[in-house]
Amino acid sequence: MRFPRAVRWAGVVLLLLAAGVAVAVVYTKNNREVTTSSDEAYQAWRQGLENERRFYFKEARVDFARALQLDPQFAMAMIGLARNSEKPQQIALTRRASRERNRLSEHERLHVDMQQAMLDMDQKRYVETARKIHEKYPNDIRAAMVLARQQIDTGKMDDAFQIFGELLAVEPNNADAYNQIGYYYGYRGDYDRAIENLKKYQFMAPDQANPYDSLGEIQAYSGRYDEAIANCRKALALKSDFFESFNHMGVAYEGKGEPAAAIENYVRASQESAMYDGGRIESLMRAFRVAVSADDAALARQLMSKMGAMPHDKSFDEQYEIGKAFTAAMIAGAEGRLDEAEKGLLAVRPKWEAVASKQLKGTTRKPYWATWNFSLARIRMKAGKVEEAIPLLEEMANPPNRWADFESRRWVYEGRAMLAEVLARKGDLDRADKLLAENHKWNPSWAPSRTAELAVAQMHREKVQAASR
Amino acid sequence: MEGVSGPSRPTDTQEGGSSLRGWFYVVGFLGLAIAVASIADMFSPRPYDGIVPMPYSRTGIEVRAATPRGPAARAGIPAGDCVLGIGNHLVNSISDASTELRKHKVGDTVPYLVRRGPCPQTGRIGEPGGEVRIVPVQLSSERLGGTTYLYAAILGFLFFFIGLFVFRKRPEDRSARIFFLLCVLFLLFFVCRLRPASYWWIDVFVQNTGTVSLFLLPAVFLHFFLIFPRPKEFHFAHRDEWSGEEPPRWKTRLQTFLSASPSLLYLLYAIPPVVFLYDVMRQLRGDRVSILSGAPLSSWALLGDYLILGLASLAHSAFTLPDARERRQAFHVFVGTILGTIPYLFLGIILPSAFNTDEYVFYGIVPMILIPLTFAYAIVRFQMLNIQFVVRRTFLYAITTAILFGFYAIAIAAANALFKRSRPGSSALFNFGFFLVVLPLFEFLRRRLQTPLDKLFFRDKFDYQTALLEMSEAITGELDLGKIADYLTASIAGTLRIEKASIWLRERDGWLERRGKREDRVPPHAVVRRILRQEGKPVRVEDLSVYFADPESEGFRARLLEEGFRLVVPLAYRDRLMGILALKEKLSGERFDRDDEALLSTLANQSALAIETALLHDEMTRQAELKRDLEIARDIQTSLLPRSLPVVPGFSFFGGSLPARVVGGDFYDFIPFDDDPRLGIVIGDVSGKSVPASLLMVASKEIVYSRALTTRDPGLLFQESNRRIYSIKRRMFVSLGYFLLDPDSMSLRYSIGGQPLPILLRPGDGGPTFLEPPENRLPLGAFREVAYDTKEMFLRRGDLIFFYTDGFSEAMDPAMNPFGEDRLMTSLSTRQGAPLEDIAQGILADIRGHVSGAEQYDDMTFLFLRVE
Repeated sequence: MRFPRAVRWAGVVLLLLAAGVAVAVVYTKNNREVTTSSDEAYQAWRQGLENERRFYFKEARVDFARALQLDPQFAMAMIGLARNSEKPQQIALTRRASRERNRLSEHERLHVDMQQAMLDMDQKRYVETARKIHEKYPNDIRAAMVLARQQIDTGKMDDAFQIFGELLAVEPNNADAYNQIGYYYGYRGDYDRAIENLKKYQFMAPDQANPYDSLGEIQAYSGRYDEAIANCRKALALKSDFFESFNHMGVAYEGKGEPAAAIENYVRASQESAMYDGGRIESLMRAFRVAVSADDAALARQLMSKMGAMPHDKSFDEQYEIGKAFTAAMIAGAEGRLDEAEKGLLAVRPKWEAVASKQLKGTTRKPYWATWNFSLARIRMKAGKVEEAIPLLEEMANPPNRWADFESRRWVYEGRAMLAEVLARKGDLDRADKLLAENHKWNPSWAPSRTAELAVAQMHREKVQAASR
Repeated sequence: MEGVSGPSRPTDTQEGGSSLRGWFYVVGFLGLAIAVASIADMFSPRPYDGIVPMPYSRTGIEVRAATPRGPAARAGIPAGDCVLGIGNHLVNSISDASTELRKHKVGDTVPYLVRRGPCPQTGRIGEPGGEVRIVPVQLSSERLGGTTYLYAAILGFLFFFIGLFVFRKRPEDRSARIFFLLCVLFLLFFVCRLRPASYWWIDVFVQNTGTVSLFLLPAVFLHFFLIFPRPKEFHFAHRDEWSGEEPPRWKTRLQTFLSASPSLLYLLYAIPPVVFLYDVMRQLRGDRVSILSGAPLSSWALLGDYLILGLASLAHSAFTLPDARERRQAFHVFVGTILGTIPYLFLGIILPSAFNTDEYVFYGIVPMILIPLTFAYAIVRFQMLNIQFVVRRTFLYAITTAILFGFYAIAIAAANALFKRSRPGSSALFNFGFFLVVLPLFEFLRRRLQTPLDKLFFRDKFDYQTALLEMSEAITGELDLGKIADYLTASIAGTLRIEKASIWLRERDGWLERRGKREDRVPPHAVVRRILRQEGKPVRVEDLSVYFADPESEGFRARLLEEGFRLVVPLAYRDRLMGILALKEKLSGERFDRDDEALLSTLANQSALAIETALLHDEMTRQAELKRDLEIARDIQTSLLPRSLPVVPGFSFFGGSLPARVVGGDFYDFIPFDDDPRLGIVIGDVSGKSVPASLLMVASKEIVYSRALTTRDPGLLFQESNRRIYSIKRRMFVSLGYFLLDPDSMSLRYSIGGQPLPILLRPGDGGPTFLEPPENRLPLGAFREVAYDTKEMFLRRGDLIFFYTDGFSEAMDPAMNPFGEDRLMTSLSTRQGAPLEDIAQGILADIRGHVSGAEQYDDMTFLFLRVE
């Protein structure tokens, strides 16, 4: 039976279309960005990435683990799981991924290298690898974010913005980018721009906790404590175990001058944190600091013992010991044993320097002893050794590096405040006012520094009174 | 020298015209499709947020306006704010917004990320920001099209259909094409440009089309007015009157360029898109471009410039066109355009842009109806097409058809009612069957109505048809050229109701001669004749090109214009111009429309054929008469030559006559006497040829014959005859010779008037000799009184006398050498003893040998007399 010409042509076209679709399906199926033979593993890995972006690290870890279970040779799942694991697991997983190198694409190999560099604490190699990835694979969000973050840390904002711009050109609705940009402006004290970008972040990810948390964090460090607490609660409403929100609520309460609530939130954060190192211990350390500042030695001891009970990576034994000595010295200070405290702090300094120099090797960052300086300065001031406290405070107020987060900026803030108080007492009210004015650009009212501010105000009053007399 | 060009109306050739026409249709219907899509988009319900965006923003959706009581207004999004995100996605452009809105349904509450103040300039990270907020917007189901848009759409379609109408009627006319294009652009402008953005995929397409129309419209507008009602021509490059110097070349070129030349038009069309693209490039580079009412300010400025130029051109036409009627129409269009566009410019563009209010836009659009109305009015008055007729016809037929359908519907209902309870009535096929039955009746009724309707409502057209029929019948059977001409001019004047019609008819000499004014003639070589023949259809006198090369054509045209003729109609048949019909103005003052021209063309064709037939008939009649005359003359001549030779004992005769034409002027005859043994011999030769000579010959013979009866003396006879012949016709004379033979006395008495002397061949004389010539040998009829004398000679036995007319001696060879008397004598003497017939044949043979095929110059008549 002979078909009319039009029908034959239509048939040919349909066949070609079907073939094209089939090829596209096969190509798409086989042309994943990662090496894995399992569709399910791939989907689990994708889900893990998504949760990671949402800062849902527990869920991300579960997803990566499942991906690995489905495909034991899935290198990128190993790397994803490593990122969300404790140090020992990180090392093991990264080694395992390295053994799969020959099977991997160049893109994957570079990610393995980047992870290795991070484990080796080789910042330079870490950034270089990220740069290589970004140059060859501009769509790689992780590498772009690492690179941009590195540019921010070194103060090269134009370069960072360019990277963000390239990232957004590829993925216009990349919420993480706006999160990072918002933080950048937040660190600089440009609250309005920070809020604008974080609102975009919030808008793009309304069902995620982190946007509210990021907003809460910036608000907490900017003096908008009630708003911060509200946003953090919203974050927790979306994800009840979002530990960072507890941390940031702690900051807000600190700022408000409610140490008890602050401590409570920090402790809660440590309970919810998925990670020990940099997670639970850090939150407890914050709580410890609040307790020490409040001169609540008993609470400080409790917190210290909690920290001591937490498992830690053996490779961090040295830091752990330093930490123990440091916290002991701070407790001594809280308990009024000022000489002991001073001695303990002085003793721990060299060890700490040795560790820091290893950590900062290969970076352009200089050591910043904000915590140590603050603690020693406080003790000396309590002991009446104001003059000896001044250099410590000067160091705090004038950091050698650009602050990389709010916490480090916070030390600058508190250093300035304490220095302002000292200078005011010495009669240098102008400089004291300038220091406080700089602080107020970031945060008009930070409770931990209120004492210093009140002291400066008092000096002003006395000066006026003296002048009037 | 050949003429240069024909009438100046710009039309396309047959071959290129149809493909170009096709493209115009494509453009038109594409525009219509886009307009329809735009309207469908405007009036179909879909989720809408009530935001009217600025069209060119690339870093967010800049809120140009929030429709009152719309979702955005209710959510507190005012004009001037910037929408950065819709539905959890950031948006940079209208297409992004469109993509997002498509994901939602009517009634959904969608979060909008809104920034206070205008959108970022570049969208680059680091650019100063503004306060942002997240606003929930409940999408509504609104139709974007409102009263204003509906009105604008109606205007647009009105334009389109007027333009399509004109184009369909005159697809080869350039101004009709440009007008159609103008109307399509107006359609797109009204329907696609004056509409709020709708966020849908079609919106981008439609908005861009509207923008394209915005910057094409001025160019087409200007183009149209540069060629309407007639192409603008500038004349400032003149020859210097004093020095006679030619104008500078640049001036001549400039004049040519500005006179609606193709180069000028290309430039006019090129400028708006170039300006627009420049602004687009500037925007892409990140420069701030001033926007007014959704389009770059520069585009508006250009629109204004073109509008002004177009109006200036129109105003120029309104004041300078030679025809008063055309000036009036241009003025009407000018006023209508001004009144239609100025309010929109002010209320629709400037006011909203300056004060951010759309409240008065509708009032700006309302007067725009004047534009299509004035155009339509001008078209009707200009009679570019008989819109009155078409509109009336269409409307009337539509009403008639509607009425008939109404009757049909009533009939259906009645049938249904009647047959409701019956089995056929309950069948599903009942209506269909009824339809089949009624349809033929319906069609019959409609056709029956057509003629009376035409007669009643389209009287003039009906008259035309009748007139055409009558005229065709009248002239087809008419062979009288004069009657044809008179009938034509009278009928056309009556039917078309014109002041006067005149006709020039082809004469036998090829000239065209005006009927009733014989001095008004047009020679065959006049270029105007060739032009009219080539044109083949009615031409306005004014449109007859001024580039005639000959004064006759110029004179003809000038005469026509002077006498007030408006239209010339060539009457051509088979590439021959049989005549020209010239018509004056209609009594009503209206111009000749298409139907008039069609009627005239049809009549012209038929008239040309009738004229050709009449001329042929004339020629045939004349030829027949001529033939008849010749036959009569031949008969006369043949009957007057002697049927037989006389019998005179002792004498033998032989004679003959060879005329040079059909009818000759020579003769010979014998005059016997009843009571006298003598015999009169007359031989003659009349001056001239053919019938008149022949008739004179007859008269002369009769004169001589009657005189001979009473006068025997040859000389006296000639005197008397001469007087008589002289009185018949002056300037015609007869050469005669009269010889009176007396057989008893063997004498021959003779008188000769103009004839050659006969040759005597006497045996023993040594050779032929001439007879003794008389004293007076003048031809008869040359003078009133001539004293002819008589000679006498005596004959001997064996004498041979050869009487002949001068055709023998004057027979010419091709070199115009005569045969001559010497040769004649020689030819005669060599045949002395031969029989008379043989002698005659021999002489004729010798003459034929001498002339060598040359045409016989003169009649040859001869007579032999032998004395036995």
